[in-house]
Amino acid sequence: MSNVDPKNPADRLPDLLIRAGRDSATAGDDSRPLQIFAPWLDRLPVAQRDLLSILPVLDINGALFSALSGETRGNALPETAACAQIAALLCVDPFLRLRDVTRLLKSANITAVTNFPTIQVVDGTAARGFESADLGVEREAEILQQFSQQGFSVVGFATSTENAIRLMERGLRDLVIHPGPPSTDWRNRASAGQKAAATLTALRARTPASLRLFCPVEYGHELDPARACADGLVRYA
Amino acid sequence: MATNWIPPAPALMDSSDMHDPDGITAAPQAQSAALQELLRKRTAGNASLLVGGAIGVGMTAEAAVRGGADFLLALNAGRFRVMGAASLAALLPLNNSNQFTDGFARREILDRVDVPVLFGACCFDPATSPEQIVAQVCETGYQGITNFPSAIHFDGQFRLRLEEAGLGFAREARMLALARAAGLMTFGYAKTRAEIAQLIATRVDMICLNFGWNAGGVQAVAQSFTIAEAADRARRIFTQVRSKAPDMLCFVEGGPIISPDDMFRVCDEARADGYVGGSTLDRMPLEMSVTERTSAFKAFGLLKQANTVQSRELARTARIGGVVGQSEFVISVLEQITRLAATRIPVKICGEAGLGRTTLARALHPLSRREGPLLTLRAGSADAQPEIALFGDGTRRQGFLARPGSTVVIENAETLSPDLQRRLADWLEDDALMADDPPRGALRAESNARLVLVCQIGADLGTGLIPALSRRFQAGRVEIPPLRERPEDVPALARHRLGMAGRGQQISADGYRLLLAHPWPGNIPELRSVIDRAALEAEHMTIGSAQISSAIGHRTADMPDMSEHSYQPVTERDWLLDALRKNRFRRGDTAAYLGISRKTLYNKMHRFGLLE
Repeated sequence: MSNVDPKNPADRLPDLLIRAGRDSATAGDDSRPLQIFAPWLDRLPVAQRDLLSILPVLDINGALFSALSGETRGNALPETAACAQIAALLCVDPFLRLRDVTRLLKSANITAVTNFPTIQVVDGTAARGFESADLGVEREAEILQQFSQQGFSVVGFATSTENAIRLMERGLRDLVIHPGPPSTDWRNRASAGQKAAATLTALRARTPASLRLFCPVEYGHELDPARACADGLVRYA
Repeated sequence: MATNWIPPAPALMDSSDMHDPDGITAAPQAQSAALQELLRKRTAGNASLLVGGAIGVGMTAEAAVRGGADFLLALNAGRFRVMGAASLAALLPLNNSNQFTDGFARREILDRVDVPVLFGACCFDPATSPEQIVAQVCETGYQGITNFPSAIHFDGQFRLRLEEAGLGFAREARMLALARAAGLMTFGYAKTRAEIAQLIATRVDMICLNFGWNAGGVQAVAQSFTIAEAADRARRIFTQVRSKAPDMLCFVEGGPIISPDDMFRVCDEARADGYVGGSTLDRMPLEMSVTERTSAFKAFGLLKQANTVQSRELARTARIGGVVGQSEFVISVLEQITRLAATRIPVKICGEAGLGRTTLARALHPLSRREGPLLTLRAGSADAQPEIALFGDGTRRQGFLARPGSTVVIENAETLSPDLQRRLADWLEDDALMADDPPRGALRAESNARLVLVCQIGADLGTGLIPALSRRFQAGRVEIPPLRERPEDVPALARHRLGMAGRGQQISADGYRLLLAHPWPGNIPELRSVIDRAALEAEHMTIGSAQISSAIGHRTADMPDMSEHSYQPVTERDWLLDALRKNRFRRGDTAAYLGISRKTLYNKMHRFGLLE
């Protein structure tokens, strides 16, 4: 059980920001917060990006690789290369080649990856279909573990206690609880908030892992109980 | 080159249709010629079902059309399948689905096939309106459109969020309505009754009840329906469809339907108009055929037919000796036997049980065209009196070796007593001397009996044959290697066995691979048993790896001890019976096969009670 008290400001982790670009303003600053680099983010409408980022409307990993390749070719500001960032990867991409990706990430000075967007936002029989086709949470956990073995830091998004445990079984100790794509109906958002709080509480009781909460823009006070349980937040910049 | 899917404002649709939120008031357009052709094919009296190919590569498209596909659906899932991913990858953010699909369909499918091509359109992207999609599809020259990838593949909370965002099935139905108004053939995918109802309201031309991603093959997906459940569900839903839209063509797809039999069962029970195949038309056949063909090429060296040019003499030796195979060992044995047949050199045939040693030994008799009898002595049996049998009892009864022109085969020769072996060695020495310097007035040595021993391999190394006797057989020693040392003969033996059954069955490349991998401790009888059992188990003309594996497993579990001591040597009666069976009891063929006259065959059959 963790000794961290999320209510104690001293124990709070800094927020993780999800950005479409790499923040040059913080380059070279050791106190800068970690950021999740998701270059495809600005191609999606804000209100629907949590849905669309897992649908066949764009190439998530292609956008990341293209952005990083541009940087390594010297097209980006020099100081951005020093930014401490986490690459947002679609880990269930069946064509992902670890060797190529790790080389590219290292050349761009990126030393951490995360499973964002995560296939775990798909539920029901569709989720079972993805799982049986090896395109589900197990695949995400496996890929993250492989990155970890290659020396990368890994941050794991999980939508439920069960999925979080599957990630932890692969050695992940830095988790982000995802409440799911926001609903337009506040009751659904409240329900998702309660579920996220319950997940954080359940995990707190069994793991010393750091537990953050992902807070999509559309969520409001529905996530307050979960926020109180989390060690820190993840939000869009 | 793929378009950017942001074409100018469409001019094809009536503005009232374009802004109709439900998209169900689209005025019905005159049916396209392509649709009329499909409807004509389903007129009364035409028994064949319509088949659509959901594909993603030019080669598959052309092959499907050659196979009779009535229309094609260009889907991103088809492309992902041939790229080695599961169909489900169609739902992932790996690219812009519409650009991706249009890219390969333009280059590889459109204008290359003479059946309608329908575009698999993705409506998830809010940046591209249904109007823009339909306009682009019309402009490009597709004959129709379908909603794929679709919201129907999602359920639960995620599906609710899609619908809330206005990116769900209602948007797809609207796109189909717009397409119909624009004169495109419309093919609507649906899974639930609510989705079917929306498609009926939209008045699509064709409706496809999807049962989920396909079972079967290497990348099978967990299933929600059995075939029986799928058939029942389709029947109930299509009854509802026909009550409201009698002209709508009804199709089934996916889930447990992985074979034509499955399709027939579901379509027959549901009175469906046809079937759409995706994985069943490309992934599964490709997986199977590529595996089999590669395996066949890989095994070619072992599977090759007799490309060694055998002389007629060798062929005759093989036929009469019952020898099957093309390995260098077999060729060498045949050459030895052929050469030995032209002489009267005593022969010793060594090897494990179950290699046809006795049959080969007996074959020397007809091959040598000797005029006397073929006599067989089974040494080692409880009632055998080998010495009396070979040399007579000193009275009027002649021993085998005194019979002019005879061939004397002694099975299990290593079990003969040392005394008798010495006597045989002496007899052979006398025989050789007589051949070199025949005494005046004696019969020519050629008329003397010829001795052929059948024994275990290594019988002359310490135990079994005494050196004095072994030496007499140095020139005529024939060694038959066990089957495990010449696996290249296994396919030929297996084919030969199947050929004898006369049912025209064949063995798949995978099946051959299993046969080649097995060590065959029981040699040829074990192989025959496995082939017979696998042939019985096979439901079709091709015996697959499953049947072979099962037969080998069964055989291994129940296999009797095939050691030399327990193996019952083939008797002359068995030999005769085997030859009769091989030649379907046609006496003329059997006599020719054995190299004996019809009269001799008749006499032997009479002697062994085989005439009844």
